Amino acid sequence: MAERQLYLLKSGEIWLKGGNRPFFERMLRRHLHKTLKPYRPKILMQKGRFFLAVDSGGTAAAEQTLAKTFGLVGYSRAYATEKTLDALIETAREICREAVNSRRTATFKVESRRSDKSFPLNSYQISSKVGAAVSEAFPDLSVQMKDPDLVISVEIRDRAYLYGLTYPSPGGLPTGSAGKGLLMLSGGIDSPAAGYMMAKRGLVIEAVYFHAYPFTSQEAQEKVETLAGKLASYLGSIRLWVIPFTDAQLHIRNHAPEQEHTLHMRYAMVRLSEMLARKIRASCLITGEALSQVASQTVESLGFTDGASALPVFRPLIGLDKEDIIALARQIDTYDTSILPYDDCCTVFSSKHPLVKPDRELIQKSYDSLNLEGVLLDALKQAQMIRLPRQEPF
Amino acid sequence: MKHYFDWAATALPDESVLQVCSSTALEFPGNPSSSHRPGMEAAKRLEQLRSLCSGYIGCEPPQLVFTSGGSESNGIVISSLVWRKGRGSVILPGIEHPSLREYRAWLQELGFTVVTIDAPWGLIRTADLAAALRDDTVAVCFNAVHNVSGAVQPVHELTAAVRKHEARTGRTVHIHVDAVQALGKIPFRVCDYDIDSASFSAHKLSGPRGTGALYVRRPIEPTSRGGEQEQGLRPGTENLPGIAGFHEALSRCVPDVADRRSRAEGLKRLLLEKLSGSREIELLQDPDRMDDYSPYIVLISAAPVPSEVLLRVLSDRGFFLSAGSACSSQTAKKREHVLTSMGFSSTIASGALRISFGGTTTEAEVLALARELAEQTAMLRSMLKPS
Repeated sequence: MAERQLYLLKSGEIWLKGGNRPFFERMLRRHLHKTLKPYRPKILMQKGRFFLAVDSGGTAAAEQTLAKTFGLVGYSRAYATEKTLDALIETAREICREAVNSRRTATFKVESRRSDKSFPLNSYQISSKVGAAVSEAFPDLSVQMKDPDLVISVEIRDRAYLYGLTYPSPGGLPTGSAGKGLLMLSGGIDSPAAGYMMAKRGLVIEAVYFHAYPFTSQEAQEKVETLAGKLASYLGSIRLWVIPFTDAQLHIRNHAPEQEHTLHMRYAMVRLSEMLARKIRASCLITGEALSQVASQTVESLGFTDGASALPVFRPLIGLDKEDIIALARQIDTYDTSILPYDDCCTVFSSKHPLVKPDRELIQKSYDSLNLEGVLLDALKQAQMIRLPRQEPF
Repeated sequence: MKHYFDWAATALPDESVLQVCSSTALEFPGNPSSSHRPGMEAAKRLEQLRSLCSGYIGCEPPQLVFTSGGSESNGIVISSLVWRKGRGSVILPGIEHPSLREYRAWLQELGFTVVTIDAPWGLIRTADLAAALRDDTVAVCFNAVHNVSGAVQPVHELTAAVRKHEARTGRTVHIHVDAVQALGKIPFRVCDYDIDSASFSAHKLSGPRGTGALYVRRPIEPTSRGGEQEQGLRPGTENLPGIAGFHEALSRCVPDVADRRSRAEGLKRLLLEKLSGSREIELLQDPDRMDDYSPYIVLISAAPVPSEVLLRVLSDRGFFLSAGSACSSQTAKKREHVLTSMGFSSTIASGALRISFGGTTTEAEVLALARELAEQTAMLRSMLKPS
């Protein structure tokens, strides 16, 4: 049997969930099983700790996955060794070498726990002996008890387990634990960030993109596919629905007053998204809207477009400044793609002076008079699904 | 390549030119600066090519500097201005190619005044230039053939106005001409004009990319240090294979420039005749002065259909054109600025398309293009018209 690599997983909020804890754990297990399937992942629960074991060929995949697994706050490589002092020292030195080579490490300490009381040294003795051996091998490192750069943990159980550096994971709740949401994904900066935020709260995300060929380009769609792929890195994979929107947009442009075009277009998009969400059994919509960022995102405009969906519409960016959204987009690596110059809306469909504070009743009446429902149903029938794998293959 | 109509952006490659590049690379492997035999052979070949190219361009060999192309040649001239002791004003028409226009802010930052003149229908008016000349004018830059509108500028009249001004003020003015769209397409020899420098590019003539030339009547101040090549104006090992390809392209275009021009005139006439029936397509070249435009370039507008939408549809049907302007990106806004400098509204500008011909363009292709243009424009117009 091939050698296996072991990881210690550090979960965040899962532990707070009391009676629901087994459910969240199941979701986490399911996500890791699905994502790391080729490497025969095995998830173990031992004494309140989560361990992941994968085939040694799967370490890069496992580490990429763990760095983007919601429900975890961090992970460490774990090393199982024989229960001898020499083995402990050798492994501790290896952990130290890894730390020194990968980040600035000037201070360390050793923390030990001994549940197998037959081991001849007690916890204190293990820490001092291993610590002294590490100091000897790395004379530049000094021991520091409070907040050192590196903590080497030693646990003596059925075997001896050692952990070193903790690498960060994104936190949040395990994928799927909150159900499924449909993300309205444009090529902009906001919607991928909104998708990320809701995925982090445990939603499985599917995405919908409205394509208006020839008024928007194939490159614009490819850009959206790339963005969806970036989100797939957190989710395992993602389904992107592309709905042909040209007819609806032309209908609005050719029948509604110019200043209302954007609002009706948004309303129609929300309406279509709701229809699609029901079809794919998603229980909410997600948009990248931020209050008053553009004309269609004022309180009055959002009040209107909200009416297009009976499903809840989540807008996780609603209170954020653009700078904060950009920082998040950079963090999740979608920003550079989002700013590529392929517009997702052609100027022929944008209003020069869009309505900013629509009267709810009047605008609704105006939308209803467009009789768009048939056009939208036709568009929905032509929706195409593209399944996108995670962006960076292992 | 199905139907290529973007020759003003770059000409389709010519296999025989590429073969010359390749054989030169193999035959003259040395660095022209080296003092061994292969180096000296390369240096000798370089000077032969300089002599041959300057013959086609109409200048003395020492006046010709090989560069990477038009944009770099323009940049060398503008940059050398700032090495001069004094400051003053520089005249740049608003329609200029970005390789000139984009120097505006930089020059201003360095203490120059930049005077912009408009060019209705793309044609620079001598009176406008004369009015823009000031006592402190140090340089005037313009295209011989405008890359977007195809306007052939009245170089003789423009230079005469500048020289008259010089005589009056007693101060010299550097006249720089970007002749990238002129060389090999219309008769253009620098010795026929009273200009101080001119830029050329090989790839517009099916020569290799990354090769071009700068004509300088008198030596100008080099902007770089550390390399003696090309009078210090363009330091670095000379691109001998590229220069050989440039020469090959010149030798194919310049001698029969008149025949090639009349062939292009025929194609342009045919296209305009076919488009004249379309109410949806507007010609953006002054109909009363059609002789003042390059026969290789036709500028039209399909507004209110955005040019990028029409381009996309045509591209998907195998017709490759260029936008005179486009919907909304930053680059497009700069391009739109060129069109508004020509006197067109931003609506007209947003639908502008440039069609450019080249050596292998056929009448059949032009007919097919005229048909597609009319059909697709009508289709898009009907989509956008309130029913």
